Amino acid sequence: MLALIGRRLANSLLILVVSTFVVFCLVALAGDPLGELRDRQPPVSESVIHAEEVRLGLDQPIPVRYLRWLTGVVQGDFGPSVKPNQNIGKELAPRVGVTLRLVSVAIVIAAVLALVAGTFAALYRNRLADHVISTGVFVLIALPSFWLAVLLKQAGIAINKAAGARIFFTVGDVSVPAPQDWLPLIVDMAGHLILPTIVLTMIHFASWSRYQRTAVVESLSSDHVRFAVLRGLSRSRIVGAHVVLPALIPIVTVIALDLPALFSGAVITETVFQWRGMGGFLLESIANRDANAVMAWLLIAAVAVVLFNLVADILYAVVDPRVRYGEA
Amino acid sequence: MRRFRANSMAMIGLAILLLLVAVAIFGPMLWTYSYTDITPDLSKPPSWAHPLGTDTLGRDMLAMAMRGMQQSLLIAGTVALIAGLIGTIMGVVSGYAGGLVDASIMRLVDLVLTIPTIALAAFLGNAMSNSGVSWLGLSLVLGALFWTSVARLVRGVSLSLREMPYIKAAKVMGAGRIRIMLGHMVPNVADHIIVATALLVGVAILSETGLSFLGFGVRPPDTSLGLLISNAQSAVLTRPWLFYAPGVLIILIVLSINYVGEGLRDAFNPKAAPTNPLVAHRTRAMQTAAAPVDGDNALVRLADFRVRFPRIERPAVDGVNLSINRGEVLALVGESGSGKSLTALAIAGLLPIGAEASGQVLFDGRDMASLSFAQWRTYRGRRIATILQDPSTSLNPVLTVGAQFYETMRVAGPVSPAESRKRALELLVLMAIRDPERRLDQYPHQMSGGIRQRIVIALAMIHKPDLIVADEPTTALDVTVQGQVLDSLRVARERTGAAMLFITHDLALVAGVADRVAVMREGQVVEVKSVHDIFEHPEHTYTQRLLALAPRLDQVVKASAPVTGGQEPLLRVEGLSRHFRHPRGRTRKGADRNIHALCGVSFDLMPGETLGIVGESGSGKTTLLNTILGLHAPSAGRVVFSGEDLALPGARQRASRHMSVVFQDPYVSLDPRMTVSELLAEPMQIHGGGDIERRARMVLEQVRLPTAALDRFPHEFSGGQRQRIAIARALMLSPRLVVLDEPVSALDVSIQQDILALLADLKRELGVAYLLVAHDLAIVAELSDRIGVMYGGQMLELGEAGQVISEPRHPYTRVLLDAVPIPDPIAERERRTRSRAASWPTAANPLPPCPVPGVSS
Repeated sequence: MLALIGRRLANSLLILVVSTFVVFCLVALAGDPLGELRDRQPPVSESVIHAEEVRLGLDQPIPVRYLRWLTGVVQGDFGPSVKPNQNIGKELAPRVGVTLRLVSVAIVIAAVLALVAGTFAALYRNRLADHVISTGVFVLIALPSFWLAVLLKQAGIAINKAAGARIFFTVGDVSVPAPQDWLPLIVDMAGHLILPTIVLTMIHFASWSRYQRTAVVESLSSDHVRFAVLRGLSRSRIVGAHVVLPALIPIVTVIALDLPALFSGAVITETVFQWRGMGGFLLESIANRDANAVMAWLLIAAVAVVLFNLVADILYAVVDPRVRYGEA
Repeated sequence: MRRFRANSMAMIGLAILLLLVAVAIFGPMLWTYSYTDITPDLSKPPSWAHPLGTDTLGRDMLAMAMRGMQQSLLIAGTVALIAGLIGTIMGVVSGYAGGLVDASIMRLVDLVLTIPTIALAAFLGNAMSNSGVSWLGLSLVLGALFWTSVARLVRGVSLSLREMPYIKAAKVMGAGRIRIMLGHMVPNVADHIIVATALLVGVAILSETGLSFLGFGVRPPDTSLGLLISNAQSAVLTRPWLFYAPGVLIILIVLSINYVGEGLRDAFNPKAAPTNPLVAHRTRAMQTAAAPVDGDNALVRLADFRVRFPRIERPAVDGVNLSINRGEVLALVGESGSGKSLTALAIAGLLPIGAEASGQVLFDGRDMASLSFAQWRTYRGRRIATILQDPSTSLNPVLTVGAQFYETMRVAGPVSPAESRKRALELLVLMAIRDPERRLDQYPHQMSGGIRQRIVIALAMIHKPDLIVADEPTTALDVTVQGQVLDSLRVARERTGAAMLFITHDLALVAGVADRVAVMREGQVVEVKSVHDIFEHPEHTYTQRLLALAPRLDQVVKASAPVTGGQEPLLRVEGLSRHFRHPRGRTRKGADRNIHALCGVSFDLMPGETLGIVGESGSGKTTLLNTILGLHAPSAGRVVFSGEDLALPGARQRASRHMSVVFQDPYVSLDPRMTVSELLAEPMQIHGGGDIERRARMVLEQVRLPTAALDRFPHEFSGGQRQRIAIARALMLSPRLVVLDEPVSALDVSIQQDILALLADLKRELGVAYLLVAHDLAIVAELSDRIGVMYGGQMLELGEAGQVISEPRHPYTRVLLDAVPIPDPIAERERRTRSRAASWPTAANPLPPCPVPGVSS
């Protein structure tokens, strides 16, 4: 088990290094961070531009820049930003926590919902419950997350107005100023989480529940379920231990594969609800063509994806003895 | 496509989609306003002049929405095309090449998958040019990030295709990589690609509109649905038309694409209707039953029992009358499709969904029609125990054996875990399972098929049932294991005193097991008799035929024509070995990880000779075959064909002209997308020469098929006919050697004999040599001049067929011979009282170790 985790970890590290290199090259080749400076009217003097090039390391060849960037990252330095007085690491650190809060809560809720809805739809396949769930899920899959986010936000505002009180928080990830004690702080944060979490959860739970439905339908037709029925086991025992338990393996894979999409969704959701999370930072950096800032963002997202995948691998081993014993 | 048209949601989706596409293309030409026009009507709600209203600048919303749709569909379609193309190439190459190529492509996929698409796409799009990115640029960036989903899917399908016998057959024919990939793999993954690409259009629309919403996709002055929503963000309450129209359009487009995609998927991959055994089967109406005759000793009584499926003419079970007395063993014998399994399932209450049953099923005098799930539970497990065919799938893979015993014990009431364990141990000991303590804590995948099936039997014994239904309980097992499992079944029956319904396709097996035998054919019971009578005086012609077809090893007298010596052998195999390495696991370390699939096998095959190789699963016979055919490289040793070492460059290609193969399962050895004439033409297209058309007609005649078959597809033929087509293809180039890999084991008994007879005729007519591999000694004996016996990758015995059958030299050959059931109740039961041949290998007399060159063992 430990060996398995170790091997996966080493593998992931390799992927991270290669993937950052590829993305680094893409980002470096895609455009000139100083383009805006060069186009400025009246023109900025050559010497200023050159100094800026040296500060950002643009005068070096890409492999050298990558190595410099990598050694910096290992020591916690994400490199210079286009904005002269911005420290990328310091700026990003608090935002990571904010976004991870949103993403983790959404994953857990969406996974539980998908399990329940998918299993339910499969057990009542082609009956009313299935038709209702499946149609709802299809509509949710087709919903653009930003549209749903805007809709919920405006609905929240309308409800607040109608009630004359703040029922839903529609702006920010925490009140300003934030409560001092930890209990009110948590309650406050949870309150701010509600609407964005609904958006993120709805979009992802929908497609996951389709996979869960397929997995359970397949599991239901397998021989060991038939045998469990023929042994006279109770319905609840059959559903729990013989239908759902083996069907957990595919859903873990699907969730793990969908994590980058979750980060993409978080960017949009945070933008609409004006959170001070990773999303805002990303959009601002992109607008500034701040290569190092975007790299830092992508690196953190990639590390998060890799870590969540590791959790998925461990879950596999928990669910499936064949993985645990290294046979599959 | 008929299935697609029958899917109403998919058809509605298609209609909406076509309508929206038409509006996007033609709408802007026909509509009064252009999306750039600024009208004097500011912020007007929908009206006749402006059906979707206007925005704060006075622009017509309908014109903008149409333009937005145009942009979104254009970009999404291009993204899907690009991604589909890259994904297909990557997937097929990865799946076909395997190994290092596959590993690196999959790492590339992993790499792309760690990147949140929207972030990178936004950055690249933004950085490429100052004025925003063009639609083509955006499509390229998104396409380059989205191909992974198609690639993963195509690779998965290609990997499984690669193992398909029809791909292997093409390789053996000498087809090149490009031919196999373009000719066989792409057509067979095409439907998956179409579905994946269609669904990708929806994903791409959501991504493009998302990017535009954030300001990094389509930019003003042009417009997109995402941009329209972004502009209307703060106007949801004041000018709702601006917000809802583009949102609803996106939802409509994606929704209809997804329904169309799902519809296509279902139409392309018709799966057998999934079953749900949790839903009680209630289509059979309760009949006002004539009260059962008093003093009737029957435990089970079927009266005029019928099962039919909707839209199928012939009933699957057609008026069966049967009874099983207490403590009696009734064998139900029939070929596939005879209705024997449906009859058995009906007694256990598990008919498939959609089956319509009528007539009576009485168990202990009670009609079992329309019992609820809860009522069935008082019978299942407790009074009726069932044993399914395949022990590798009937146990739950994620629960320990002990847990599965415990849950079964608790069916009749609470049991303590300790008590359950104690009783489970007793049962396992009864089933002659060694080391039962350890077995209880293991998972099913850690045991062999024979042990699993004995565990299934032990589970059936727990509640001392009145009836045990055994559905082909030994069919999935090796012949030497079959005997042990039959012994276990006998023990189970004696200990519980239960009656048994024993279902099988193998009449020979019945001789030693049953008290009475019922023979089923096409849904009807054609003959019921005591076991002695059925073997002594079979009345029905079908029974007589089955008996005549059953091979009698004990009566085989082989007068094999001695092969003329002094000739050069056609095929010479010298010290052939093949080792695999187990993946690292905690149970295996170092030399334990070596699997000796094949170990120093040598033999000669003379022109025109038939060499039969017999062995059980894991004996290495398939590896031997694959190595000779060039599908595996040998670890050591040589294969020499007509005096030429096949390891030399080009030799394999030259040899493939004179060597062909017939695989086991004719349902998967013929490419389903090719007609018979294309299938037959392929070997000649590869190697050239001759009038293909004429030759194809000739070989069809040789295998006794009409030439009208040429224009049809394989799925239009029965199993036996398909095997004839496979044989015809093997004969196209007039080969000198035909390799037969279990050529009849996938066929019904009555067809087996036809094919064997055909093979024997062809051998006489054409003088071709056969290398025949099978697990069934009787089939090998029937066709072969010489027989080789394999076990654990080694050739234990090789000799004249008559000698191997009547005077076996190796103890394992004796075990193998002894395990073959004799279709004669007296002889079979006599043999049982005599002790079985001493098993082999034993601790005292083990399989000799296999030396691995270059690896310390």
